[in-house]
Amino acid sequence: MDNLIGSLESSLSVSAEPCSTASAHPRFSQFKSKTWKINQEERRRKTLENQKQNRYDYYNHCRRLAESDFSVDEECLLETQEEMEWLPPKTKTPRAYRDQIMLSEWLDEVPADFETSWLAMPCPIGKRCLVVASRGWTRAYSKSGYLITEFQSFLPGGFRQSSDSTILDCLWNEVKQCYFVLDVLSWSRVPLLGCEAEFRFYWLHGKFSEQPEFGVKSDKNRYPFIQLPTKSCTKGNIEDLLLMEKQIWSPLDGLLFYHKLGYYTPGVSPLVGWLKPFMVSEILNANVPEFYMQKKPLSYVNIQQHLKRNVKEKHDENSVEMLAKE
Amino acid sequence: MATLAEQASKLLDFDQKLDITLLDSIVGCMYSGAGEQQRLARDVLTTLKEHPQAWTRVDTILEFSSNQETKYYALQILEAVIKTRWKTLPREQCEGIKKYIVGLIIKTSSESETAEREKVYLSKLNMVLVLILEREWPKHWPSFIPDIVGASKTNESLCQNNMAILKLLSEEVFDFSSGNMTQIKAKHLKDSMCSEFSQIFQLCQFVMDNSANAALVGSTLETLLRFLSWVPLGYIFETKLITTLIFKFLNVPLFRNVTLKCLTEIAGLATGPQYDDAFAALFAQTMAQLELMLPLDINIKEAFAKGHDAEQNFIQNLAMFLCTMLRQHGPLMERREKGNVLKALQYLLLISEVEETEIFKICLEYWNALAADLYRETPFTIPTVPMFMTKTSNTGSSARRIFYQAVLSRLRYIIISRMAKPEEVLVVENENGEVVREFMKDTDSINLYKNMRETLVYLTHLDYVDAERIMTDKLQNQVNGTEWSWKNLNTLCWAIGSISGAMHEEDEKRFLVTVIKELLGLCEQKKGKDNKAIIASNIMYVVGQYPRFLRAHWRFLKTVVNKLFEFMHETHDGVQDMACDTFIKIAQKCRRHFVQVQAGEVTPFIEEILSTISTIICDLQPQQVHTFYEAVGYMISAQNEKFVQEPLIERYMLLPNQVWDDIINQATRNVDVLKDPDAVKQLANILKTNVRACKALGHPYVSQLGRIYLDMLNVYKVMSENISGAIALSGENVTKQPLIKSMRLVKKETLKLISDWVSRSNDPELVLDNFIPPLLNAVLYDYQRCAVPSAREPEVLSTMATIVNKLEAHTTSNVPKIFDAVFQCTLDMINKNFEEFPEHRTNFYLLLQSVNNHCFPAFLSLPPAQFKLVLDSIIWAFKHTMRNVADTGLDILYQLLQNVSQHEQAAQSFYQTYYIEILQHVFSVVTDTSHTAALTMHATILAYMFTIVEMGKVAVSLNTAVPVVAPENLAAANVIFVQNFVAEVLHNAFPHLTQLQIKVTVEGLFNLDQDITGFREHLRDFLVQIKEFTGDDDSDLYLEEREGELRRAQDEKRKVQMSVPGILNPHEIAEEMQD
Repeated sequence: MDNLIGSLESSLSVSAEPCSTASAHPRFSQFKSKTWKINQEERRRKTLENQKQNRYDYYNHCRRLAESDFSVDEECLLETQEEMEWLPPKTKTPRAYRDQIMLSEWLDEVPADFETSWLAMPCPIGKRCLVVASRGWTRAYSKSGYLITEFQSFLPGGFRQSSDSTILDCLWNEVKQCYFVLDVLSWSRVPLLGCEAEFRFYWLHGKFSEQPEFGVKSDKNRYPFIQLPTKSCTKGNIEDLLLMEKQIWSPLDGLLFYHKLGYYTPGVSPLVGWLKPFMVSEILNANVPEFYMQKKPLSYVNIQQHLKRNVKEKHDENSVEMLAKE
Repeated sequence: MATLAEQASKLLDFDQKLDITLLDSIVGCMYSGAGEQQRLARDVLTTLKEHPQAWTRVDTILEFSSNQETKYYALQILEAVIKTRWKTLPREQCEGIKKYIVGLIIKTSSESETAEREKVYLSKLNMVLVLILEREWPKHWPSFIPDIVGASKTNESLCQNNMAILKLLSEEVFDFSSGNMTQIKAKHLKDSMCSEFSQIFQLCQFVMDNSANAALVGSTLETLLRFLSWVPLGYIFETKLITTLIFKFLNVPLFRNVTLKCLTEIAGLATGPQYDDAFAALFAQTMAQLELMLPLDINIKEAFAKGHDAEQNFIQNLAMFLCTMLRQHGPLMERREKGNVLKALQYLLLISEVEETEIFKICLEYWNALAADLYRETPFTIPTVPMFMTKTSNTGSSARRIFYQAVLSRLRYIIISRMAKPEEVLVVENENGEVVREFMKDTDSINLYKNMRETLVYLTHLDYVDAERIMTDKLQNQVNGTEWSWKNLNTLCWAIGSISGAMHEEDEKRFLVTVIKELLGLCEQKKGKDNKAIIASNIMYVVGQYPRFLRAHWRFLKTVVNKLFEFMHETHDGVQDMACDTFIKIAQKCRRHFVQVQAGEVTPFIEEILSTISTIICDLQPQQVHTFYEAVGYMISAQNEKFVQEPLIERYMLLPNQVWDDIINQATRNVDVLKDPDAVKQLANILKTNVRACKALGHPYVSQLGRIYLDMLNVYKVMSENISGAIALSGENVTKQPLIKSMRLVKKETLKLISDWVSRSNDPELVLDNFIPPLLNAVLYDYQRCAVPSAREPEVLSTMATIVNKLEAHTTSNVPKIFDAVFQCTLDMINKNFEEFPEHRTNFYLLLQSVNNHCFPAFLSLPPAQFKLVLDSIIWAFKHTMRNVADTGLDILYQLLQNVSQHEQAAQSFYQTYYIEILQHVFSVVTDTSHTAALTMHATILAYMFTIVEMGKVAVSLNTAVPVVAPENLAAANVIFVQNFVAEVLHNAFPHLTQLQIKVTVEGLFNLDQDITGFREHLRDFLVQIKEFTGDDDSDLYLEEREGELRRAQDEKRKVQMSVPGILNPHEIAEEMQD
């Protein structure tokens, strides 16, 4: 039976993404996953390398997304697929926006250059969505490509008189009725997908400081857009982010970690990491406020006890599948 | 065009000679013309057809017209006159028409070439002849059978057509007589046919023995086929008929289909044991012939796929024959024809593999009966002895099971290999413009699944080791690739999922562990999201089908649920839907396990779900979120401790409540927020979440409902005002706009939430005191005040009906208030015609019905004018041709009559005022052909009304002309009055009926009023009669015989009445019986 439960948890998946945040964090899971064969650090290295050789036409990709133009020649796509690291969007409307968002992996192995090459971003609770402002409307699409809602906003392209286009990666917070901006794919027709993360955040910061009205609800800006800050990944910075209680984005759902050189690529990227606050203490050895520690799911507490107990009993029992990662 | 009209008028002038060329051209225009011209032609022809003298032209047309369509038209004229006015024609005319038609048939059918060429015309002539026969034979044409048999011997072509006539006659008399002729007449025709059958039979036999004309033999066999179900058994079993069929015709390809059908008909006859030998011989001989024609090692599946129509039909007929034979005579054949039974089963197995659902269904019906029968010999019992002792497979035991063992094993394999789809989901757009998924309930495919599952469950009980072996083997073939395909995998997993519970728990566990392990291996092995998604769905389907296993293994259950949560973030097509559907299925079956602390856990799992709910659902679509909420609701509903449950509900609804509060707070500051499309959409969404929560939680949802109730009603009012305002500003068309649609959705969901909860509540006082008053104030007032009728929500009416149905008499005091608000204004919407506002119509009557059922005293306290309005609206209801409305109307009326009778005083004034009026209205629908579907209910009501008069329950004189009658004569006087009244009504409505016809009808209505079936058939007979003008000759209605029958019914009724002391009025009992 344990055997069966183990393989159910570890080998049943559709997308088979390593370190997917949809399943449990590898260090907090009872079972060893069989699906990822290469370690996280190695995958990060390969992705960065691939990125340099990438010759993808970001400009056209952005244009298509912004203008809902999916009449791309299929043949042309097939030809280019070979040499590309990630696949261009499936061209069939209405779910053309499916799988365009860049998703994180669990931060499992802390990178050696963590403090110098990575940025930390506080991440509130919310529904991840792609906000596409173009042709006079602002539309939010879910991860799986469904249109959630459409409204008027100040974003370039997002209001009736505008002929611009902008694509943002956001979190919709239902309770606070606002969008938190995580990242930018293109701004005023300037594609930013092929730019490094540090630059994208810098660009966003510039635009949001120039025009504070993005962050204010009004008749012409139905929901506020709020940019999330980034900090370099020193222990002090991370502890600070967790301590800031008064910010609009607290309480946090977790922390995102971006590699400064990573491009914006659809799907799960090893260059973006994710941790729940309570995990920070164990993985990064930082201090976490008691408030967050209390939110540690009981089952995790449970698993840890369970694993410890299991290690003790290992000699008596034959449950080799149960693997304590300690 | 004018000339056409002008010329056409000549046709209608019966003093002129008929211009055949003109008629031909008009008929031609009607068939091949277009537009105005064609319409004109059609009108002319219709007018001509309806002219009472039209039939006198028929002979001229038939003789001189060269156009087939014109001839056809002439026959239609003739058909109409025969059907309605035959009896009113002078005898010599009848004879003339008869002779003419017979002559025409003989002329056309004597030459086989002409007969073939004018096939359609000839068959229409045959039909006309049969119509005449129904009226003439046997009384006016006693020699018909000898005539036709005699004529048949003159020439083969004529004989062939005569067979067709006999076949038609048999069908008209035995198959389609109900509703077309009176019961007694049908009986007469049947008797005549049986008593003269020997001549027909001899003719058939003569043809079968001697004719070499294939077409003639073919139609003879077809005709015989129609006879077999009713002819006296001797003709079948005591002649050489069966052997002729088997040895002469079965192996001739041209005749084998019809022959096999004849044999099937015979095999299906219910006889006593005296013909056992005959059946055994029939079976053995047929099997022997079949083996020569269709060797048992043939691949029928392939042969069928390649075969022509006739060959495919043969396979279907063979299936019918074998199934009928084995079902009807199974035990007999098992005793006497073991070898042939096995061969027959072999055929059936081969046929069951044919890829044609209709044929498979025929076989399945037999297999199901066989498996059920074998199972019932020694049913499955929960073992009381320890497991290891029952481990030996539960096959064996009886000799019959051993006999069938090999067949059943093959059958298991077949059923597992072609298991049907257990559920069907349709993606449709609903009336609010939302795309929703709908689970289909009653489709062909689902019924097939149910039958297959039932059969497979029996088969598993009969030998679960074998069932398990087959499934495991087939699973192995998925893994090793020999049978791998999405379709095969789905089919196999549906089969595996279908036998849940059929094995002992320990066996089931072992089996399931193997299955899941193999499937997980398969999922790892296959590449690509599509493959993995299919396999994952199948694993989840299988798991969801075995709740007993899940309940027994908590850690497995928890892992499954966590895996589902993971799938809720998966963007691959259909995976999120699958995850939500499986989650709710598991939540319903295992709910208790999520609110209890499980072994190895610190808290119940529900705590964990509630604390991570926002993360779990963050990638789901609104509809999926609703499903998720319902699922969690089921879990919480399993917590019976109120003090534990309430905080759970609070946390469960936390997220939607936060958004709700935010919007409400904004609206309190500025009510225009409720005009914002996004805000309205969010409100509708939250209400839907609440509806699902309520559905799952039942009465305990009250804590959440209380929290939002008053705000919700205020939102309702504001939405209503917004809608009315928009309509006032921009007209009714504005209701098609998305924003207005969303606002109506908010109203509808509000009403749905309230009526859903009320119908699940268990504390009437609580509902009545706390929830009803604000509801009535907000909703009813709004309904009544609404200036635009189409903006009134029909759900208001159904909500009120739900409340009345649930709270019953508790809410009687509220009825006047409800009626004040909804009655008059709704009635004004629906009393103009029978079609507009169908939903309001339906719901209005459902409300009336619920009040009548549960709050009847409220009706009694209405002022007379209002009561009359209620009664009028009920009468209006049953005049509808909308079935549901008419049926509700009749139900209400029947119940109302019964309710009234419980209140002695009210009853009498009710009878005095309304009895006759009601009677009149009911008769008006009884005699209206568009209401025949409700005939049983009409019969029930009329029978009830006659009974109360007869029993003296009506204590006032119904005759307004004689208002006072001595009590002891009152019942009798009322009976006579009602009888006369009915007779008069009928006479006025149908002046073509004779006095005697009406007398018999009315008497029957009283004599049969204790026997609803008899009463209904009597009414049906009457309906047959009103279609026809009888003239003076009503002899073939056999009215005297009918009177005799009715007298016997009357005597029976009296006898029954007398056996119950006190039922008869002492004045009615004969002297000698009184001591």
